[in-house]
Amino acid sequence: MTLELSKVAHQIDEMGRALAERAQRQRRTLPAARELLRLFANDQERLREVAASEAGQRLRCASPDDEPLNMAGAPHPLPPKTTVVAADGSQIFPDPHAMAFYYAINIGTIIFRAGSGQAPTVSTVPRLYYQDPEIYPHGQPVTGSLVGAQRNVEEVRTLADLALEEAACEPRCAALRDGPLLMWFDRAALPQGRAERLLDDYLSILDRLRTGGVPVAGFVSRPHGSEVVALLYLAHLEPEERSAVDSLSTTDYRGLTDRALFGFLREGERSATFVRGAGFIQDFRARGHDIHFFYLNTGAEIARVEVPEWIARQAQKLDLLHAVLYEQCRHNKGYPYVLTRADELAVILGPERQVLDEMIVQSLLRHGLHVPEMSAKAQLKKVAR
Amino acid sequence: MAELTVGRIVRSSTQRFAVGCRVLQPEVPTFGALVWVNAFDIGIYGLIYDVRMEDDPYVRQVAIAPDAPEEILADQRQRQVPIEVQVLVVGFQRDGVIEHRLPPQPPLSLDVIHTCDGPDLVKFTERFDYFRLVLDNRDLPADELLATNLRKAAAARGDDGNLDRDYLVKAGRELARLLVNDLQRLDAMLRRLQP
Repeated sequence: MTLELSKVAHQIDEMGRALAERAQRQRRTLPAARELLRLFANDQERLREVAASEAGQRLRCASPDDEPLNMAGAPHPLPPKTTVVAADGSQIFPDPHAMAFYYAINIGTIIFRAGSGQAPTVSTVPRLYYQDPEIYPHGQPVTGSLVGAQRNVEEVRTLADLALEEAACEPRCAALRDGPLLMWFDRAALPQGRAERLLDDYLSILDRLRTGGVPVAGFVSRPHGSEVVALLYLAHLEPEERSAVDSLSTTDYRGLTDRALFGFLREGERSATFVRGAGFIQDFRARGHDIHFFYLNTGAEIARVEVPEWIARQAQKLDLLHAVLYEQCRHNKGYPYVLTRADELAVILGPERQVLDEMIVQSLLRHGLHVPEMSAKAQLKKVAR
Repeated sequence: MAELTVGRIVRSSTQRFAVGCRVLQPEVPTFGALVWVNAFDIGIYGLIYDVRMEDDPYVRQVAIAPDAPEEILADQRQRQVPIEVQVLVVGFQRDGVIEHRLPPQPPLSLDVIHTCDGPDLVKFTERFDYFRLVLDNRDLPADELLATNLRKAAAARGDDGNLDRDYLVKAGRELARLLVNDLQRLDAMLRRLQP
């Protein structure tokens, strides 16, 4: 017996009630928030001060760029012969109960030459990690957090390598990844010094992309952020009231997302650009990679698109990314086609994992080692499930 | 004609095997073609009786999209791998001697399958003992398969790709012997063989 449904029935009912209350509250606060967006549409300077204030940083408010806050920009037509490069990654996490202690990262890539009529170039880059320094960094077993962070960096590194190569031949080339560009490396969850090294690696990759002038974007599907909502909320308070606000969760605006706020965008339209409000953005800012974002109606949802500041400041490249993203979404039910394919290429499915494990066992046998066994815990779990 | 690689075995038995290949080319794989694969010390022969591309929800979605760009259509075609080729075993060769019967063992997974054209096709189809191994498979388009194979064999014997009429007449006589109790089937087979 696993989950006794009778024991959660009451909680499910409570959950339904809470969600209904949230929806009701949003019906009330959403028009008010949109009205604030209209009122402050051209108050960028004042809003930037609010975002930079102590309260603004505490609430991780977004900071506006120079575009009117309530703008809805239609996509430009996609220029002929535009290349789109995308990468996504997946991993096999290290399992201390498996027959061998290792982990794997697989990066899927696609080069899509729009307007060429050619099949895209697809590829995968799989790699196993089994050497002692890899699986026992600082003498401790490697954790899922480290593998995940490493995967993110490898994913962007592969993306940058390909995009820079393509951009050398084709001037109109854009690079996309699934997920935010503003990556957080959790110092508490990673071995000492590792977060700093990974961050430095990541920022160096962004340096290379900036030097190559490649428009790069991170696509965040169904974003939960409320950085613009937080900004509007703080901005409408008197300065002395702001210091009393610890977070949105104690206000009527709790649960109201930017995604809902920008629900007025029509298909293909994008919002104004803003700067991300997360505290750890300072590391990015120091290296000239402040992360900006806009919301985009993909035809199926309001997604967040993150770009580095050196793209946000170049209207032509921002327009190209907007056009690429909408064109990619238009033919794929509201999600970029290249990201669907990169994910499909990268994902390691259960049966492949099984075959990989069998091949590892065979290799160990070939090299004269005893057949390793799963731990007693793993074996018994397999029997019981 | 140069020997072409069809693909690698993904499933096998002594009677049939399935081959996975990446792309369809004009010459390979084709229905009714004779193919061979090395299995230990013997070479196993088979006839391609089916070439299959499975669909999936993604292909269905693209298929009904009103204006999918060429690049996406081309990508979906390269996504559908492996293309699966089904082969019916019709004989084997050991020490240079061709036997029209089932081999003692099946080929192994991932063994490479090659086409068998020109003199090799002529050599295998000199005798007709393999007819029974084809005709007995009532779950397959056996008559169409054998007729197509015989037309390829006749073309390999003819000049400039023309069918060798004498060869087809000899094959027709063997069919008449085998299908003497099923004249309707025989009639349909002989019509398929007419040059």
